Formats: sequence, structure tokens, C-alpha cells
Amino acid sequence: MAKEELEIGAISKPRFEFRSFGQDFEVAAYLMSRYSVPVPEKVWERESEEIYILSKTNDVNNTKIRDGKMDIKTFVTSVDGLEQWNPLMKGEFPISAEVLKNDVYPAFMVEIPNFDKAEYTLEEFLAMIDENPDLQAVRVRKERYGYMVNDTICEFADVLINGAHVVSINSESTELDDIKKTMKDLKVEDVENINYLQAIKRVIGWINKPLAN
Amino acid sequence: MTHTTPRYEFRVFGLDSVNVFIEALKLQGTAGRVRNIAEIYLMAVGNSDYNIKIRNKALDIKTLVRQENGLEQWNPTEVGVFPLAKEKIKNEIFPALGVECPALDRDVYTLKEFMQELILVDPDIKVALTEKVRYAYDFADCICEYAEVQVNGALLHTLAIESENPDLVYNAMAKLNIGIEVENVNYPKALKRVLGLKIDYDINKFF
Repeated sequence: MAKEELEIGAISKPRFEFRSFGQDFEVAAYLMSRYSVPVPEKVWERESEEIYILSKTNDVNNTKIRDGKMDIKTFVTSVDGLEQWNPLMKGEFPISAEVLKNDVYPAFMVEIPNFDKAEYTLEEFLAMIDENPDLQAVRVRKERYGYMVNDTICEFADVLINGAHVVSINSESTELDDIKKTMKDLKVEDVENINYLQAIKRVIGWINKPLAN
Repeated sequence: MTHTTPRYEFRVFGLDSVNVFIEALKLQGTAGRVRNIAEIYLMAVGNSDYNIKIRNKALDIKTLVRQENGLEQWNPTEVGVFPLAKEKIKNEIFPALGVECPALDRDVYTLKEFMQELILVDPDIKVALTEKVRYAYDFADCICEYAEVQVNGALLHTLAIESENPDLVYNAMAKLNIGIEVENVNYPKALKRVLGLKIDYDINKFF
């Protein structure tokens, strides 16, 4: 079967992903820039302000809010250390209590609170998050630089987690072998795969593990 | 290092916002030694008057003496070097954390026992592991430094000005173009912000 040609920003079948976080991926970033084919100008540099909602009770659902929209992805599987995540739900603020009750809080895997309003603004939602000791909202600012290496979508990113700086690299594709080749080309074969949830939990002290470097 | 007279301190944290002050200090100050230091900070939500850290198995507590016209005066106390007697843990460390002391089964705690049995298991206590590269400077008759600080692996820059004389601190701030609008942020406050213990950021930009 011919492999699907990836297009940055397009919806494709679920991708596998290698990602890591640390302080120094200078060599990988350089190699990424050299091996990359030209990519659309719109992905050369992207900046975003996001809020991740962390739950102490699970590592399988990844909830983030960007531009007033909520996006939850769920962990599907891991193959050879590469992770596959699928979209679970998308919502927009103000968001209905029904969606919070049936989709969002179940994804957090915490006790579902009583909802006394029909819908909630982002500010009201964040106030509810703040009240729950098992949940935490974390500010994440990203400056992402997009590349395409070995038909995998790659990026190098400067990320601020609650204002503190880390660097991230990633390679994602529907094809495992393409990611593995990219990891080899970028000399990150031995680097731990650390997803956003893991990285943020390590930085805010919920997981007692270091980043990759 | 413990000193007898508490110093007044001004400190800022950030990245680009702090780098301009760091560059000014590099230009005008006299560089001293560079130190690589690993420290464990212990924090609790309710505690803002104590700065509790462990370096080379020695636990120090700095107590906030006063806040005055934008400066803070801290008084350092060396609690001791691990292993520590349970009385010190009960009577000095937990009161500073503002957290109820659990039952202490041992007479003496090693650092590992203290962390594993008393700190990491307490949901009210947060731990920040820091790796610092500190660059000391003499400047305007003040003790100054800038530092690259990794907080649980994430990087911040900081710059500090200290003196027993607050007027010297103000003078140094002026020479570095640090205006009165710049917030004085001490270590516990900065670490709490990274750990998300203090939700005081500007959320409005997300709406």
C-alpha cells in the first residue's frame, strides 16, 4: 500500500510521534534545517499562547486551549517508543455544562463537579480548574519552526512553560519507519520520547524525572 | 553563607525582560567568581515568608524580615546538615513550611529519608530542583549576580542586587535602568509561578 503523503496542517490518519524536551537540541535543529525540504511559508514560524489542563489522575488525555478553543487528544498506542494520539473532542468557549460533564471532566478522570450554569466562559472554566487540587492550568507559549524531513512533519520549538524556557523537537508521521530514519538522521535515536503532558508535569514538579538534557 | 546583618535585596526573574539588565551589569560591574550550584527548594502554597532550600545536604531557611519601598530584607538561618534530628524538623522546618508536621518515626533523618518519607509524600509541599550557574559581580558597592537557573529543567534568568544599605540597592538599580515599575520577585515566588502554585499571571490575553 502506498504511504500517505503528509501535508503540514492537513488532516490525515492518526500519526505516530517522536517528541522530546530539554535545554539543548542545537545539533538536531541544525540537521533538521539542512535535511528539510522546503515547507509552506505559513509553517516557517508560528507563535501561540496556550493553556494546558493537567490532571494528576491520568496521562492519557491531553487537554489544551488555544484561541478560545478546547482540544482534547487521547493516547492510543505506543509502538517502538513512538506514540499515537487521536482527537477525542473539540469545543469552543463559552462551553456548555453538558459538554463539560459528558466529555471534558471524564477526560480529566476526576470527580465531576456540580454545574449550576448552562454554559461556562473560559474564565469561569479556569476558576473551576483552580478549585480542584487534582487539576492545574499551565500557561504554555510556543514559537515553532516547521520542517519536513523524510516525509515526516518536524518542528523545533522554543517553549515557555509558566514562563520558563525549554526546547522541543519532534517528528511525526503515519509511517513509523520514516520517523525512525529521521531520528537517526537528527542524531536523537537515544533521546527519550517526552510528550507535552510529560514535559509539563516534570517542569511543574508533578513527575520527578528530568527532561532529556 | 550566613551573614550577621540582613541584606536588602532586589531580584528579577525572566528571560528577555531580564537580559537587558544583565547586559548592563556585565558592562558596568566587576566580574567575580562563577559557581555551579544544585539546590532543592521546598515550598507550600501558604508560605511566602520563608525561603527553604537544601544545598550540599545543608538546609537553610531565609526569613522575610520586611518589605520596604520595593525591597525585601531576608534573614538567613542555617538549620543544619543532614542527617537532622527530628526536633529540628518538627520545630523549625515544618513551621517554616506552614504545613502540619507528620508523626516522626525516626530520631534522625538522612536527606533521603527526609525527602522520601516526609516531603515527597505530602501533597501540600512542592519541590523544585534547581541547577544554577551564578555569575557574581561587584557593582556600585553592592553584591550583585546574574544567574541561569533551571527549575525542574526549565530555564529562567535572574539578576539580584543586595546590600545592607537600601539606598545602595536603589542606586545600583538606577544605574542598571531598573525602574520602580519592575517587580521584585524572590526565589520562592518565581519558583511558585513556574510550578503553578500561584495563579497570578495575566489570563486576559487568552480571552
